Order: sequence, then structure tokens, then C-alpha cells
Amino acid sequence: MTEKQFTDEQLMAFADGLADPQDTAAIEAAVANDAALAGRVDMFRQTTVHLSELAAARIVDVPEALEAKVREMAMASDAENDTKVVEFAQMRAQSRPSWYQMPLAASLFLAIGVAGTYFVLQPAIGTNTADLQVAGLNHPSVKSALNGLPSGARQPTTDGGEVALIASFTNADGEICREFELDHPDRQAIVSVACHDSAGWNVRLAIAAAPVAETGYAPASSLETLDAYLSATQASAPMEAEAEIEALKQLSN
Amino acid sequence: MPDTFSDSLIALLPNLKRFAMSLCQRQDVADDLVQITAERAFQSRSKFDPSTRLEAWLFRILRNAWIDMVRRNKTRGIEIEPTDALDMPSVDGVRDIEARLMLDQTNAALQTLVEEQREVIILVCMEEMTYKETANILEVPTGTVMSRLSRARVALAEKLGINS
Repeated sequence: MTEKQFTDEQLMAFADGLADPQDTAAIEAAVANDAALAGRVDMFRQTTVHLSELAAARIVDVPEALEAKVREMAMASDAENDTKVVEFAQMRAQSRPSWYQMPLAASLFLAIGVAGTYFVLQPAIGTNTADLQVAGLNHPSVKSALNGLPSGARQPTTDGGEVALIASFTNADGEICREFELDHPDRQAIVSVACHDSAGWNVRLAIAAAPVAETGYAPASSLETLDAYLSATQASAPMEAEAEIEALKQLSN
Repeated sequence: MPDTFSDSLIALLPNLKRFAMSLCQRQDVADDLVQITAERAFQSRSKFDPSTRLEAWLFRILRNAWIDMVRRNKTRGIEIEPTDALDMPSVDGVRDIEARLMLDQTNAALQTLVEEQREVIILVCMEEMTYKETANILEVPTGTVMSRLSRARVALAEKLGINS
């Protein structure tokens, strides 16, 4: 065996314990019989030893004033984060407490549907696009509710269901988005987020819940999914009533 | 309400400062970089993926802030000159003097490396980032990190008289 069989990158990764299992086994076997190769691996190990000693010996001074500034930033940022979550939770509670009593399996799974919409469905519902379309999200009654129904209000849909508007907010791209819920006696309830872009209202998230059961429990998993989505898309805090009226008016112009 | 993001970020301030000092070797500039990093991190905290290490994410922000700063100053014709030595604790005794000499030599050897080699060696061998984390911080492929790193370590070993 000669060291030419292995590249320096492979030997270094081995020395760092980061080589893949195949390389690890091969190099281990090779260094046992090849002092030059063992020396090369040791050279890589020694560089780490010297550099980590240097890192440990360096005096790091974080001035008190700097740390105090960062603590202030942390407090402001935490407060903003908490307020947002609480505000959404309050608006959901006001809009429709019943949905949150519905059972929702913890084993939600996520599928990416058409136009980048995220659908969170229970396995029992099925995941093909046809199922998603019959869920009624594209129903004209939903579009009209998104255009004009204030958050906190409910309105029947022409197919025998009901739509409830939960909250309006803006996302990172500055689009107006609305969280809403769609109930239908024959289908799963759906909690959804639609945002208004150049093509009109576009469903960005849909969470389907199981039909109402007698003994419901709070589906913490669904709210976490929703909050995670809102956080990931940098949702603003929910809009106040007047701001919402104004924002919806702007959209219709 | 306890928040692991904020607490973890505050706990990592010394690591951020050390990395910032490695980049600029100026106490005042390093403090500015740490502050800018914290500001940007809080602004975009929702973009942080909790399945990854916060430290690696913050290092990436800090390095980008450093690149911005250098670029901005260059357009104004200002160079950020390193003025502060990287401080190490004072030591006593013969054995410690030897250790101190080795630290000084390692530090001196590190400073002679070209920037792209110095950066990877600091991240992997001093800040304990993985190759993949380093690739993310530097926005280069993992293979590039590994080839730069192995060259950097061979060069450093030669300067320190480590035989292979």
C-alpha cells in the first residue's frame, strides 16, 4: 500500500472522523501497514490539536454594553413573537371555537400541491389533486368571502357549507393574506391561508381535519403547523379591523 | 416565556466575537460585526431552521456582514487595517513558555495563509464546524471546503515543522 491510493481530502476526513464508512474501513486497514500513510493522517490530526489549543487560549472579550444591547434586542424580538402568536390565538378563539375541539390525528402529513400550495392532510383523506379540488377551496363563495367578509364573521357557501374568516395579515412579500376556515357537513373541515397576488386569491396552505366526533380534543398539532407556517412566511401580526377594511378595499380597486 | 433562540444567541456571543476577531483583528470592528449579526438574526429569526446548529447560521450572517463592510469601505477608499493582536492569557513556568511559543507560532502561521484557506481552517479546526456547515457558511460546495482545508493544513504543518 502507498499513500497515493488515498487523496489528502480522504485522509483528512479520516483524521477528523468525518470519512464515509467505506473510506474509514479502507484507510484503517491501510495505515496499519503503512507508516508514511499513518504519518500523513497524524499530520492532519496535529494541525487540529494546535489550532484548537489556539482557539481555547484566545481571550474573548464581549463588552458589557454590547451584551446589554443584544439582550435588549432579544427582549423586543421575543415580545413581538409572543404577541403575534397570542393575537392569532385570540382571533381564532373569537371566530370559531368549535373547530378547535375537533380531533385531528397527530400524524399529519404534508404534500406539496399545485402552484406551491402546502396541503396538510390526514392520511385517510388521500392526497391526489382531485381530492383537494373537491374540498371546495376554489368555490366562488370562498373567493367572495375572502374579498369582503371581515375577520370574525361567518357566511354560508352556496354549496351548503360555511366559511369563517379568522384573521388578515401580510406576509414577507407584502401580500395580503387571510386565515380562514371552511366547514361542510359532508366533508372535512379545512383551515386555510390564502394570499392575494397578481392573479387574485391563491390558497397557500390547507389543513384538513377529521369530521367532528362526539368526544373531541384540542388538536395542538394543527395549530402548531399553522403557527409554524405563519412564522416561516414571516406573517405580520393580525390586522386591526379598520386596517383590514382598508386593505381589502385596496385589493378591490 | 423562555425562548431558546434568544438565550442560545446570547450564549454564543463569545463565539461570535472570537470568529469576528479572526476575520478583522480589530476589537471595535468585531464588536460592530457581532451587533450587526445579532440585529440581522433577530430580524430573520423565523428563517432559522431549528434542525440545524444556530452557531453555523450566525457565523454565516456574521461573515456576510463582514463582506458587506469590507465592500462598502472599499467603495469609499477605506481599508480596515488589523490593529489588535489576538490576545492570549499570560503564562508562567518553562513548560508554559514552550506552550506559549507553540501558540504564538501557530497563530503566526495561521496569519500567513491565504484568506480562503484561513477562513476554512478557522471554521473547521477552531470553531468546530463540520465540512457541510462550513460549506453553507461560505456558500461553496463541500468538496471545495475539503480541498481548501487539506491544502491549508498541509501548509500550516509545513510552517510548524510537523512532519508527515
